[in-house]
Amino acid sequence: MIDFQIVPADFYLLLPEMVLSVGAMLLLFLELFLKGNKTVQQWTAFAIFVVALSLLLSQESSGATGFGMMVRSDLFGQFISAVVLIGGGLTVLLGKEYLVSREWHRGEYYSLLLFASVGMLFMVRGLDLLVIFLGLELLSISLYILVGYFRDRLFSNEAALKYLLLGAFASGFLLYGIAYTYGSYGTTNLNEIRTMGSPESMTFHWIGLSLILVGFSFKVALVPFHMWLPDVYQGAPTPVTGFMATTTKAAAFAAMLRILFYGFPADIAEWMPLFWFLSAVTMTVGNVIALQQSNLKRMLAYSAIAHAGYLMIGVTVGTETGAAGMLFYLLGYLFMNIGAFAVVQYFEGKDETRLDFESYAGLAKKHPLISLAMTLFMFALAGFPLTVGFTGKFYIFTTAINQGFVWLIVIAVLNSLISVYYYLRVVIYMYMKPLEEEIEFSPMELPAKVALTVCVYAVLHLGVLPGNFITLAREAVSAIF
Amino acid sequence: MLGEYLPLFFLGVIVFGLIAVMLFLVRLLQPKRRSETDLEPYESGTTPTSFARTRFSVKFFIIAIIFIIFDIEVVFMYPWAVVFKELLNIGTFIFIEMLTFLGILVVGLIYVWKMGALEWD
Repeated sequence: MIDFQIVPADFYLLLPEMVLSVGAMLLLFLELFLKGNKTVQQWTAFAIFVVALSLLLSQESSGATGFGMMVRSDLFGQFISAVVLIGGGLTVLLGKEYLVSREWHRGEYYSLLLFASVGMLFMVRGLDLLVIFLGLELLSISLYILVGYFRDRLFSNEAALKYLLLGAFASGFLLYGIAYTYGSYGTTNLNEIRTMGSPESMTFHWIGLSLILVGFSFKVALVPFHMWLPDVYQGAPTPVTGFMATTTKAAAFAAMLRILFYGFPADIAEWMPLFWFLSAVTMTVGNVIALQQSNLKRMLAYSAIAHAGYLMIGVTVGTETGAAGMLFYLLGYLFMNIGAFAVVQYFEGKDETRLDFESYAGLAKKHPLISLAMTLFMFALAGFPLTVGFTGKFYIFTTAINQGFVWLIVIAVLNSLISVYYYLRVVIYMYMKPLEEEIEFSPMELPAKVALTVCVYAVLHLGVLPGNFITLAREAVSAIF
Repeated sequence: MLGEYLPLFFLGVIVFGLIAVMLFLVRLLQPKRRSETDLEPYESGTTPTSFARTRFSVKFFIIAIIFIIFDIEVVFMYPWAVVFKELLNIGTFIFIEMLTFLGILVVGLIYVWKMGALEWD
């Protein structure tokens, strides 16, 4: 007899994923049968994200598992899933105007965003290494297509191909690691691994975990594995870049946290020196190379690498508060980075010729509000007070200091100082250089305006009144320890 | 412990030995005539008419991709069919599950069809 039970509650647990999947297919049909009705497509996609988010938030976060312990509904999963869904919603709002102006508006854009979100939700809520892998693949395949969205542009093709080859390579590492983990524990379920405690083969255990970490390091772009990132971020359509930089990072870090802290709680102390090194090298390399960039998208790409380094501090510390800091920072990073990319996409022009610092000269006079928003995002990314960049960094850094990681924080603070140079360069060009040439930008459409306003508000709100969200992050993290 | 693998070792010895013997016998018995045909790739007995490495239409690419998807569908359906009867006694879930899977694939098929990927020109 096969031991197999299906409970209706399991389906309730997966409702957000089901809504997203059905919605993605619905959008494919909308593209087929209602071609050209762009507003309907955009709002349908947005509504699907909203419905999925409200379903997700209405669920109980009791730590109930479903489908034979394949997925787990806890506050940790809910927190990061919410980050993913908010990011997806904002990207939908920003995408239409950008794609319409390049005559590349297709329903597949929304559909792929939804599929990518489904993948990330599975990564975050999965309790089995294979479910996490499946989610990662669904995410990656959707992103490969989204990166190469402009089929007729060479640099977009190049980015997609690089991402595909290196991403497939990283997936191979991850899968190989899962196989080794299975070899040493006889199961791929994190809950069983956790209760089992010690592996049957220590060698296989370490090989497996190392390979899994390599796979995730590719996805979050820690330094020896960061080479793909700048080219991919530059070649991808700008809204997609914003989506990738924030939600994918959140999902990959969350899956990494769940595997490391929930699945293998005994090993954290032994990983520490390696994570210390990875964190320090990642932020230093990211920041130092970002100094040299003249292209804004590439600059933000290297800044994304640097931020992966800051976030790694939370993993290095390995305590609940450290992970809570990461969660909070990922939430804040979502708004400041999507906001920054929203401004970049507005100014870059149809042919993406206006991406260098020079083309930002004097924009503040003609576009005071958008320039002000960009200034805010740059200040936030650099970590100035009153923005979420400050509270997030402050929270992570103080936790690390309390745990005795003084030198790591010295390096991190020095890095933050370096980063001020290239973030503020944008601001200086916008406010203190004369306008080079008069260029008329078509006015921003309402959805994009709404998205930008939400980002500005969230950056300020989380910066000034972070209390509730930090408490939430701490509660969320306690689910995986 | 290693004794368990002894049969495997002998199998290896026999396999490689057989190959060596056959290659040696071929050398010994083959006629000493050499012709150009010997250097050509083996094509089931007929003489090849052109190089195998020619360029062919990129349209095959889409056909191949679509083929893979529906091929995997069948691979998935085989184990399902094997346990179908046994699980049907518990409930109709297994039936609905496969219908859902096929439904998702049909969505893909309709999409591919409507987008014109199945048309050759």
